[in-house]
Amino acid sequence: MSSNAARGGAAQLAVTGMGVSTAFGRGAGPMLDAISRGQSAFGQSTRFDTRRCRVGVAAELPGDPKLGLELGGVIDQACEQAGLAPADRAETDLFMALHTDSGAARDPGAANVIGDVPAEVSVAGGLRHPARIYTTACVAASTAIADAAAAISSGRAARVIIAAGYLVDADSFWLFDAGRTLAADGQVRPFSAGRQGLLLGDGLAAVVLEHEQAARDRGATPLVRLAGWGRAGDAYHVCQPRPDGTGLARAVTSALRRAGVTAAQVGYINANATGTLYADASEAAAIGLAFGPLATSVPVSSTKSLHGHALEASALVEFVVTALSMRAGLLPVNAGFLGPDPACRVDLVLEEPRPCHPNYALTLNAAFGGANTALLLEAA
Amino acid sequence: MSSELDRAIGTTLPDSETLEGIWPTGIAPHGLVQLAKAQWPGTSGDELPPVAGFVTSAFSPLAAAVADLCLLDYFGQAPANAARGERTAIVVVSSTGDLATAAAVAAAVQAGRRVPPLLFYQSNHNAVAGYIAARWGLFGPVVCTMPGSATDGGTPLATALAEAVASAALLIEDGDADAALVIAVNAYAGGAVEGTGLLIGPANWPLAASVPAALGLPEQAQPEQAQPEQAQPEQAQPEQAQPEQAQPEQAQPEQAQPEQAQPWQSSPLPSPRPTPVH
Repeated sequence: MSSNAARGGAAQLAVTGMGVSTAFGRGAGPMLDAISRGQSAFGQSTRFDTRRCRVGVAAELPGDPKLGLELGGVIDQACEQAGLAPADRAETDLFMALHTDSGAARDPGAANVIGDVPAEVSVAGGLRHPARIYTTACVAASTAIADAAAAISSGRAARVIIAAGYLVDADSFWLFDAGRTLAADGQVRPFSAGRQGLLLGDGLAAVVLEHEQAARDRGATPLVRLAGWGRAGDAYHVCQPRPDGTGLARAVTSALRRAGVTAAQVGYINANATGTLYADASEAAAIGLAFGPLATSVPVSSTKSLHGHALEASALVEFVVTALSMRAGLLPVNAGFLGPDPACRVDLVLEEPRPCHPNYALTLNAAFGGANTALLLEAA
Repeated sequence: MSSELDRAIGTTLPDSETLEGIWPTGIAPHGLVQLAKAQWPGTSGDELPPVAGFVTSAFSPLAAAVADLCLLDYFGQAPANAARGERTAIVVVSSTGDLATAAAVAAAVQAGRRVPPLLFYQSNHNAVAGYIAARWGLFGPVVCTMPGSATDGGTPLATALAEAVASAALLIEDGDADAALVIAVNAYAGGAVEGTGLLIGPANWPLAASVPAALGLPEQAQPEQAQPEQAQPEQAQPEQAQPEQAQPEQAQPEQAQPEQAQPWQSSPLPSPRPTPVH
């Protein structure tokens, strides 16, 4: 065992800017409004033909949004909140998490599956070309945050912009439909009895992460801190999570240990739970392992039940949702709940958002390939 | 990579595709060393071994082949030594990504045909990482990236490898792994494939004291107290040994041939046992 046990109390990392866009709208305002109302954003998809699909429901921004423009929009939100001048932006490292581009998929001469969006966004926004594109499926964006945290806390970078975006498109929708993972009843029901699967949703987010003292020195206000982060693998399967949850539990434990925080100090968990049968049960088991007797008393919700699953961008959307919830003192609901599942013994936030000001909150994510991440946020 | 971040982490841009271009002395950043390496294609006439459950595209079989060659070189056989596998990450980096799978999905959608269900599973790079992790018992983090900078002058594979080494070195220094299986694989639109695998880790890679300790679970979370039926490794074994039970219900590809639909042969859990490591 090496250094992660000894890193508690290392450099404090502050989030100084956040941007988010989902089917609820663009910016923190619509997201906070959605959190307080607790209603999901799903509806019949109008963006492409779903007549051949088992399910036709998704959570989509209205109209015909373009990924590059929307991504630029959330980066602008984050940079403006962080008070970054154009010169500051130009010297900040940029990590992106992106899904396969449907345009590249139709271009026989494409050099890669991501396409031109990274270059488009960085040029239009006066940003560096992304140092790295994360494609680690549903933990892509949380992996980017963990890498950014590692780079900053070790002094390799002063500040990193992490940006992620996914817009529901026909290719991914038809793929998930073919995989029979979409909820045929048109609602995501994380941890609930009778859950039938996930639903896709537009999601874009950006976060400015920096050394807290450097942020204060330039007059920026920390919104929340990133106190800990952890990653671990399942070594189990191509696409299924390890049923006993040990992989995700190790990620949680690593994040807590790194921060020097105990499970008892965690006041909210934004769960990965997608509404699929096995993954939700595995995650509940992971929470049980990591929290022990406390597992049934820490409030939990999966906001995928509100905004849908944004794939590579989901972890960053949920990071921002968690931060907004902490700052608002209102824990978001776990929508779509029909009744308890004995395999998911966690304290769900049901029916109404729960007033609460947690000092620490976890946001968990898990992906194909048994990739697990845990990010620990601390109230600033 | 051309960013300050990657310069700072200690990798330098390779002049060529050779590993020496990255580590002129064979010493990786931060005292890490190359424990094993493999390249594909190796000798002429090599054919990529098929991997059950992966179809249409060479991308995942390429990654699996490179991983197997590299890990066989170090561990001799699968799975890896348990204590070391617990602390080994997988970093998959590609300059191309899986273009063939993306194109196959797009073609089906454009033609209004049903998307073959197996493409769902292989459609992101994590899938083959999960296959490798299960086969070899690698419990460290799984990371898949693409190099962000397209203009640094190296060949695509060298760029991907430099990116992968930088990513792995940062991950190891950060503490969630002691070593990493680094896989740089490109499957070009014209059909050519090339890949390099490296196992990087400490020169004197100590064996963890025990596997339970390496799992890093807290004191209060003893499996018996938490979720007995799920937390017992001994009980988890049978599920793995019976792949058909482990398939999620939504994961039954209707059209797939039975042997293709198997869950990619998750290898048995690595048990805490002495394994010769050279």
